[in-house]
Parts: sequence; structure tokens; C-alpha cells
Amino acid sequence: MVRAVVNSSVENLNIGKQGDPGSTSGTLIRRWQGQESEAWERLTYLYFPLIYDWCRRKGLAPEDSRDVSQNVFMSIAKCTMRFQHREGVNSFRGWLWGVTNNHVKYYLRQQVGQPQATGGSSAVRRLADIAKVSETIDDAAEQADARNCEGGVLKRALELMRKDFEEPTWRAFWNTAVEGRPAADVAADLKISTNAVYLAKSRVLRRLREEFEGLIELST
Amino acid sequence: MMVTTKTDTCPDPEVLTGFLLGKLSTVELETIARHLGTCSRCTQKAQSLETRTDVLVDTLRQALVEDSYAEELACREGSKAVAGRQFSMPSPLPDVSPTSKPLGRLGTYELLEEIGRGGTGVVYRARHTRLKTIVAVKVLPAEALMRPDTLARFDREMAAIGGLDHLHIVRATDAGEDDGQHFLVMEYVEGGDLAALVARQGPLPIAEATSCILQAARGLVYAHAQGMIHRDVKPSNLLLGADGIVKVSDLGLARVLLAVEDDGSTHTGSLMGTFDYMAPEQALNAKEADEQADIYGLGCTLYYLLTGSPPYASKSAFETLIAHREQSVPSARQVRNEVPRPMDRLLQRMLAKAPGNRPPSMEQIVQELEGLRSKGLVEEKDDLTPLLSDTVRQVELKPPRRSRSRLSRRRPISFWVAAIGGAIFGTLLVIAGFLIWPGSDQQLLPPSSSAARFDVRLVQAADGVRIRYISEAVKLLNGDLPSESVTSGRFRFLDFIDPMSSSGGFFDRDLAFPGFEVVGNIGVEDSNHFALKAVATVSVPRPGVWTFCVVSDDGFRLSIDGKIVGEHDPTRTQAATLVPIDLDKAGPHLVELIYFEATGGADFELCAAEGRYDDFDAQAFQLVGSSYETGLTLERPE
Repeated sequence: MVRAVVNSSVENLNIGKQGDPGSTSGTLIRRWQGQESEAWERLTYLYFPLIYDWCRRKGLAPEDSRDVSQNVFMSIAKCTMRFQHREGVNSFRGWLWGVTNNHVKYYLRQQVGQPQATGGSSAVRRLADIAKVSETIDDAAEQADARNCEGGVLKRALELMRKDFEEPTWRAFWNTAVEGRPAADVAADLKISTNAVYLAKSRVLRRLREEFEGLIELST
Repeated sequence: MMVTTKTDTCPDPEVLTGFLLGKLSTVELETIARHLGTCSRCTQKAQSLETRTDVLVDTLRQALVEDSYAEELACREGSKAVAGRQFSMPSPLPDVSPTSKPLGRLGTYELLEEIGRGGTGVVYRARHTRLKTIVAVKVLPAEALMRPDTLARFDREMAAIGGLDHLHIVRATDAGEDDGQHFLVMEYVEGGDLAALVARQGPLPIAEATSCILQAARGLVYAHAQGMIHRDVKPSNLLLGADGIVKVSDLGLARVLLAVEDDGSTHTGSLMGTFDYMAPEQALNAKEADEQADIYGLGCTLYYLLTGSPPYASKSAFETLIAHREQSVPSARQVRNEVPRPMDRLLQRMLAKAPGNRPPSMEQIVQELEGLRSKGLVEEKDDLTPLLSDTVRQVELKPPRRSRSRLSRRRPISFWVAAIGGAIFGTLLVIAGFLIWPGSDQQLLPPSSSAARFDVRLVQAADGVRIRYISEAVKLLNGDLPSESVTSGRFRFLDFIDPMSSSGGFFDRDLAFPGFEVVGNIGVEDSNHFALKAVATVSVPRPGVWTFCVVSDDGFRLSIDGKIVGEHDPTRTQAATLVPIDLDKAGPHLVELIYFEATGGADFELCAAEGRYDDFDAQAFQLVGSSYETGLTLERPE
């Protein structure tokens, strides 16, 4: 009864089908830390290209980048609980960045020779290489911080989420939230009421927030 | 009239903004949307507020840019592989426990008794109803062959296995299907598998272990020559017959089963049963497994026969998986000193992480093992029947008497103090300065050293900032300064780690307070050896058990003699270590000093490094009664 009234008030936006809270309750990071395989797949889908991208930017070849990125995921899987988000203090991205950084160094260290300490002048050169690499990495870190590198993650998140919403809901959200068009215009286009546009926008945003709380900084 | 209670009240602008940005609960969103439908004043207000944005919306508008390399094939492949592998399951392997078939008939075979079970199926002793021959029938797990394509693969593999005929390979004689159950018929080997044998009577004598591996290797050389890779070489797949002959079983099965795993329908490894013997490259991508994977598996098996446990035994399958990739290759001699060195070296090469560093072929393994025998390093013993009667003498595992790491653990402090006194030229004062730490962080210049013209600062650093020092020093040693200006440099690390914390406890020197005095010292020497060079005394005004180790900034753990020990832990980043610990309740905490010392050379320019500490580090330093400062400064000595 309640649902029927709500539906009528937002016209043909089909609320009932939006989202699927049954299988995805809680934030993505919580579900991941709770070792839900769905969360693992999703997190991989969202973040793998970002990590891969970092590796490529550091000059690793595609295959090496793939291997290192895979190693990063294996590591983080092992200690999901080690990441603790503290608002304004650290971020998941920062943590991933650190882990990736270490993996790249480890990888390069293996590339230049045995990981074990050895002597001789070749070791000197190797250490120098490592030092150089770490500098490059530090530079890249600053670059990575400078640009907003979660754009790709969000883009993929939206792709994943899109199928959970009806087409008009999605368009209303997209036109207003992403494209920044006035709700009234969009409402006219879609032939629905303005408040339905608002509701569509806020629903998708809500889902995004819910999903990414603790993963992406969503508030200042 | 339904849920209208709040519909008629106009929401505050803040609430309205929250609505527009999706910051409210679903019920609230709906209520407000409904209200807007009836209240033009609020709709107007909403229109004036709708231009407001927040971080999320700003991000959506500015930066929905695909990562530049996301479309690369390697990226998509890697992502898919990781997503499908469910690495987030560090729990023990799921119990596949194939269901037993009630004894009875299966095709033309009469099942007599169950003789074994594993991830790849249940094995029965069976009799051919007409020929009356005794065979082993393996009934494959149902899930393995549900799909038509895996079934086709099964048929292909079985055809290939059926064509193999070798003394050291369990012959497959038939394969079939009865009532939806797929089975494989093999020659029946009366005896047992090597996993059970070692479990029963412990590690095998060297000669017997060598013989087992040599025979298996010969079988595998043959299989490889026929283009067959085993992919699952492990002790339980090596059968020792009553005739004393070792045969490799389950050839080709792994491939069929791994194909199923690649579909994502099961957890990785669940059908394979264990990661204990699986090559690192195979664990990540089963399809990549080649001859080298078998060499690795055979190496792990050899290690097992010699020591009684697999090389990277650990509690969880996941840890094992990681260890295969990252932990340093174990030495069987460390556990059992009678293992001849050349054999240990061969074993370590077989266990090399990178396939390219392993012996190039199984044939090579055969030759080298035979070489060990012909040189008299290993006794030639091909009659293995005594093993089956369990009358073989118990092997006692004895680690080598003089291992350096053990030595260093046992030496009294005074030994090291004396050793340093002699060993380090012109640095005694430095050490003395170190000894009276905390509190002495000013320049420590040795006044009367002609060669050592250096300037030293004591550096304390916390986890996550160490790389700066290392890279600075390496830069100093190698790059940015004229190379002749520095002839040597040393790092000294102190790292106290709470043995109970997740990051500590791997170096087993427990130092109880009071009397805790030893500080190991590890360094980048002139030769860039990591080596134990000195000790110093630090008083720690707090009781508790402290563990000493060195953790490098990027997650390497170094033992006191400079070996990389334990797992590489790349997650030890600064963010990761920010996990708060209640300093008042807990005992010792991670505190660390880095001490850098450089000798020789002409002119140092200032080479400073900035460090950062957060509150946690500061508290930790205070806890042990230390001030904390950052910075590594090297100045031109006057």
C-alpha cells in the first residue's frame, strides 16, 4: 500500500527494482573485509585497472604490470582487516598506493637480482637502481595524488550500478548529477515531474555513497 | 491515508540539500520526494538548492576518466584472473570430499574396497568382471565433469594418458562412464603412496629419498617427451609398489580438473587439494604450467621426503600460496645436516621462484641425481621394498651444528662488543655514542681517525619513513655524490617489535627485561653486504619481552645476519601501520632506530632527509624513554 502510493507519486520511476540490497548490504569495504566473494570481485573490477595504471605509469611493461597488480591483490586479500579507514587521515587509495609501491620495488628488486643481500660491486649498482626506482616512484606518487585518480574507479562503479536502475532513473541521475543540468529541464525531456528527477538523482547518489563509504573520500 | 505524517511538514534547507545529494535514508528520500510533489514552495527551494554539490558530485563531474591503460589486454586478463580466483578466502581449503560410491558395480568393474580419496576423486580397488584382473578405479568428482566441454577434455586427456606406457608411470587402462559417474581405470599398485609412507615412518633416508625422486623423474621425462605435463606432482601421487618401484599416478587429471577451476565454478585449489607442492606460476595461472611446474612439484616432494614436511608448510592455504611466491627458498640442510650440499643446491634450484632459474628439464634432474650417486655423495639404492615393511631405521633430523644465524643468537653480548672493537676501524666512539643512547643524538665524531672522515647523526625513524633514509644513503654511496667521496657507509637498525603484534615475532631472540641490552646492527657496508657489524646497548625502561628484527621500509624483514627472513610483507606501508594500539594497555611496541654511519672519502655535502612521525610513533618513542627526532644529516667535517 505504501509502496503503491510512493510509486504513483514518482510516476513511472520504478522504485521497487532499484538496487538489490539483499545481496549487497553494507559498504563495499565492509563486505570485502567480511570476505564476501561478490565484494572481492567488485573490488577487483573497480581497482585493478587503477593499480595496473600506476604500474604502467612507473614504466613497467604490460605483463609486468599485470603480475605486480595481481600480487597487490593477493597481498591485500591476505590482510583485509589491516586497512582501517580514518576520515581525513588515510584512504583506501593511499593504502593501495603504498602496497603497490612496495610491490613494484619488490618486483624490481627481483628483476635486478636475488632478493637476498649480496656483496660486490654489482650489488652497489643494484642498490643504486633500487634507489632510482624509488625516486621515480615518489615522483609518480605525487603525480598520482595530484590528479584525481579515482575517476576511473567511479566510472567503473557507475557501469556496474547502471543495471540496477531503470533507464529513466539513470538518465535523470546522469543528466543532473554528472552533466549538471537543471532538474526542470531534464524533467521536461524525460516527461516526468521534477521531484521524480530529484528522487532519481538522490537514489543513485545514495547508492554510490553507501557503496563507497570508507573507500573514497565522499565528504570534506 | 498512509505514511503521510511527515509529508506535510516542510523540510529544512539542510535536509533538502541532503535529499538532493542522496545523503538521506531511502525512506526519507521517498518521503521528501512525495512532499515535493505537493508543495510548490519546497520545489522552488529545491530548485535553488540543486546547484549545490559535494565531493562526490564534484568528482563525478570532473573526473570520470577511464584509467589510461585500463583497456590493455594484460590489464583485463589480470583483473579477470584475480576476480575469479577468490583470493579473499584465506580459510583452509574447502573440503571437497567426493562422495563414495556404495560398493557395487561400475561399468564392467566390481568395486571391492575404497583405497584412497582426494580432491581428484575416490579410488577403489576393483575387479574386471570378465577378465578378473585387479585394477584401481578412480571415480572423479561429479562437479568436475558437469560441463560438456570439460567432458570432451576428459576424453582427450584420457586418450593421451592411455597411450603412455612406462615403468614409472601408473598405466591407465580404461575410462568410462556409468550412470553419470565418470571413472578412470588404472593399473593397481599394491603398496602405498609416499605421502602416507612419510607420514607413517618419518623422513626417508637420503639414498631412498633420492631413489624415489629419481624414479619419478624418469617417468616424468617420458611423459614430458610425449607432451604430457603432470601439473600435480606431489608425494601422494607417487606410488611405491610392493616390487619397490615408484610410479607416478594421476597424470593428466590435473589438467582436466584445472580446466574446471578456470571456469570459476570452484575455488582455486579445491580440486587440487593442496598448494603445498604447486609452483608459484601455476597458482596464478594454471594454464601457464609446463615442464617447469613439474620440476618444482618434484622439488617440493623431495623436500618433503627429506624433512617430513612440505617446504612452506603454514596454517592457511593462502599463506602457503604467498610463501611459494615470496618466501626465500628453504634449505633441507638447515633441517637435516646429512643432506649433501650439492643435493641441497639442486633442491633449491628446483624450488627457484622463477621457472627460468630452475634446471631446464626433467632430464637434467635425472642426470644430476645420477651424478650425485656416481660421485658417491648418495648411496645407490634401488631396492625400496624395505621401506614398505616399515623396518627402515628412523631418520633423525639434525640441523647443522654451525649455522651462522644460530651462532649469532647464542653468542653473549660481550662477544659482539669485543668483535666490534676489533672489527670496526675508527668507529668505536661512534659505538660508544650509540651505547649511551637515548639522549645522544648530537654529532659523534671520532676524533683520531685518519681514514674515517665522517659525520654521524643518530637517526630514529618509524615505520614507513625508512625508505627515505635508505635511498638517501644509497644515493650518497652511489649517485649524487662523487663516488670517491664515500668509501663506506653503514646502516644500523634497531627495531623493537611487539611479539604479539601482527608484524613482529619472527626473529626468535627473546630479550627479557631487565638485561635487555642487545641491539643487532645491520648495515649497508662498503661492499653493500648486509651484515652484522656491531652491537650497542640500549636500556629500555619498560618490562616486557622484546623481539629484535629489522624490517625494511618496503616490507622486507631482515634477520640479524642480513638474510631476508619470513614473508615479504608489502602491506607494511605507513597507512597500514596506523592501526591504533592502546599504548597504556599493551606491552612493547614498535620502536625503531636507524643509525647511519659513513666513513671515508673527501667532501660530503649536506645530505638531509626529512622524516615524519605521527602521534603514534611519538608515543611509542616516549614509551621507551626516548626522545624522537627525525632527519639524517651528513655534513662536511672540518
